[in-house]
Amino acid sequence: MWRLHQISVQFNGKPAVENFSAQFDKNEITVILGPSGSGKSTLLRVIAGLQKPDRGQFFIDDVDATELPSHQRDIGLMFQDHTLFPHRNVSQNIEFGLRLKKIHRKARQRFVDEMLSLVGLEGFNARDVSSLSGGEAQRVALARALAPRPSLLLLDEPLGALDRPLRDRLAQELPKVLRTTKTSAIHVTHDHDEAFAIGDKLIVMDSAKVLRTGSPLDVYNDPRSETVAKFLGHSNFVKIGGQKKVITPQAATINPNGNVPAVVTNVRLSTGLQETFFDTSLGPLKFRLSESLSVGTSTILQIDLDQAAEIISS
Amino acid sequence: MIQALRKITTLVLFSVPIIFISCFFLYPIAAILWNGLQSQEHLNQVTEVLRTPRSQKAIWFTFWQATVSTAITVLVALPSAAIISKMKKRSRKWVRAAITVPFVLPTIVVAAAFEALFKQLGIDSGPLSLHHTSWAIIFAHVFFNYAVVARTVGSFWSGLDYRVEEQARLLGANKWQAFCQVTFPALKPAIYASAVITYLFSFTSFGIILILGGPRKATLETEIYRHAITRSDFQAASSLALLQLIAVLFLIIVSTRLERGKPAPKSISYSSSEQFSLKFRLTNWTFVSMFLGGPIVTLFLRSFSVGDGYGISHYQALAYRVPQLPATALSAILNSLVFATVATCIALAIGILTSLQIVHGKRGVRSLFDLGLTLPLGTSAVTIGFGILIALDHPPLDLRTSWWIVPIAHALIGTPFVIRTMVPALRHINPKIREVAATLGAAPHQIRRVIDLPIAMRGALVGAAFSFAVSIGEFGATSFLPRRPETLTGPIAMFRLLSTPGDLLRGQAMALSVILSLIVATTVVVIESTKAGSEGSF
Repeated sequence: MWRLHQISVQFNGKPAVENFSAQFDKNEITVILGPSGSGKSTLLRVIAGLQKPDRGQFFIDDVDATELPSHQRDIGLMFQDHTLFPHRNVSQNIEFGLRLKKIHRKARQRFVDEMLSLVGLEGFNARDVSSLSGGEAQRVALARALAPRPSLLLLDEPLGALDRPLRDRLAQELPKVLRTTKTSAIHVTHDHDEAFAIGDKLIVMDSAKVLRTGSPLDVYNDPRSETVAKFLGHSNFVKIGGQKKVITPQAATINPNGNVPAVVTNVRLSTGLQETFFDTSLGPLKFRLSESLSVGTSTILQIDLDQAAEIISS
Repeated sequence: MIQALRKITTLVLFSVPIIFISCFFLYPIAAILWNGLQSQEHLNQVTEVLRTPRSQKAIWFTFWQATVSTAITVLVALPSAAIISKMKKRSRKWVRAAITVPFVLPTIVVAAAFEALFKQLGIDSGPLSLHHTSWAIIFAHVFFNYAVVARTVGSFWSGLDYRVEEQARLLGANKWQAFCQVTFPALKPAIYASAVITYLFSFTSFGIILILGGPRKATLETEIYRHAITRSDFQAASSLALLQLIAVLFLIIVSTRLERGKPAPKSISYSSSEQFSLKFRLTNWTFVSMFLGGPIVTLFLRSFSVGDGYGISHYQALAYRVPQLPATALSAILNSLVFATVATCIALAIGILTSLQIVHGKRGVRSLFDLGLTLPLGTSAVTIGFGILIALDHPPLDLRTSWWIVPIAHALIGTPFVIRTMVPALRHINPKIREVAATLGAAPHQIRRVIDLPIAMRGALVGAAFSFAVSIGEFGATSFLPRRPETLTGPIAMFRLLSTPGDLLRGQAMALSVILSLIVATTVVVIESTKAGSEGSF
């Protein structure tokens, strides 16, 4: 179990992480989701011991490890790209951590083969790292990080430099590999699809602060704030009494390019399409329809938003 | 216990380069300064020496020949730079390598090659004689520095965006106007930078002037040598060395200023398909191959010419001792190889330790090492040799008679090459690689050993090879060091043979030249083949 207690880091007076507290449990994959510059990478560096926090503590199994140097933390790290050792081949890269643990050569070779088959690169042992494609390089980096069997693996946008199809495929493979090896992990990304595909637990960060913590499903269904919702890709906001409310997409989507893109759980129409009832997480809403249009199998309904507020308050 | 041991190791590694540079560079330079500036009386002597007509003439000639050499080099090398800039990558690589040959030849070999050429063309005597004239010196300097201008300007030029020139053409400028008003101004930084380097090389030229200029043509460098070695007048030599130090320091400041103002050429994928006219290219390459190839080919042929025919007797003669040399020429070559090996090892060790401090040391330490260890690069070899001569011949450091003084002097000249190639390699290492290594369990001192060193070693080896080539051809500093059979180097033996009249000895000198050139050429081929993307300037 790893615990961050009121961690703060500043760069040139600007906070990168502010008063951050969180707990990461064994055998759990936590995803930290946030836009670039939100402080999530800094957080990883604090956990890895590469960045000293200005304030706060870091505990490993309730023992204060704030001052423990990186190489004694038993925490692995994988970056976005270009971090394979250029002067070593694939095998030599993967066995790097094992050598430092003074593991015997034969055992090392077995480990390396095991890791390569785990990431689907059997027989790549003697390949020069400069000859690898982007996806292969990241697989080797993953194998290298996993080889010494770290108790916690930190992944800093590990798929960020790959093209979309490859990223989607690896986003499915990665949690499998982590679960097979029973590795606890903290995965940092700015991509919400990746976050939902990989994480057991989700932490949404922005501007050095935590905005929302919970299971991916909870967070998705109930973002609780506009920033989080926007970041998760929601585009449905309803202004109610000067306050913006978010409606999550579940049942139906109403023209995302229209004046009022809204998503509803259930729709009831009455009196010749003049009025619409929406069951939403905010309760039932009644709108006056201004137009409707059939497109293929779906119907686009255009509703008058100004009257929505009125109805809700009643 | 282990902690304490590690601390001691760190301290030793930290102080070794400092001690080396202090003893063998700073202390000798300080001795020169002390000789000239310790009292008003000494200062008066300095001005007196500098006022003599002979010194005045030498000072004037130093500046004059450097200026003329630079101007002519830039003029004749610009056409090649232009053509190189529009060549395809593969052929460009070959042409660049070919024109670089003269630059890497030992200066003493360049001098021998021109002597051979003059003899071959029959202009070593008679009304058209170039023997012991300013023009002989200037031609040799142009030959030597041609690659500096052609390569630096050529690669800068190829990085320019041709579309700007084409835009000018579309606006109504003819080819010549477009060049003068658009391309040439853009090239200025590269031209200035290469010109300053050419000027610096010509200014501190020694072997070429000593041999091709003869006794009548003297510069600051040869005057320091004459006062110190021929007349043992150290006071006069110090005075001139003082002036030399100031002048070179000034030139280096100018050079670094220009270097800083020189924007890095962008590598653009777009390049002009328009080539120069065939006539222009043909004329240029004919001139270049004759001017750069002529002396080398003549040297090669003369080393084999015996009487009216050809043979290898000059080469065979290298194994026999002649009275002019304290040992055989063959043993001089072997000495040179041993010195170069030892000097390269020293340069590599000092260079690596210094580079690590420059890149990873604390801020103050960094600039201290950066400055201290690159200074020898700018100081002329003659000044270094002279400094060692006057500073290291008495206690506390009495090394005048030691065999080690030769490789140490060569290492001093070679170390900056190692640093200049290794520091960029170290700086290029992605810091995240070190962080990954740390999380994989590597302690800081292990990271340095298993990550930084092996990665930067490729760069360091290129520098080491340069250092080896420089040591093989080193003449300026070595000529101030003691002459004993076991410290006779190839270039020194050549100088002795060349400065004694007689065709037989000259033939031997030519044979020795060819062998030294082959050693250097092999080293350079190794450098070029290992160096990834050999684009770049000097």
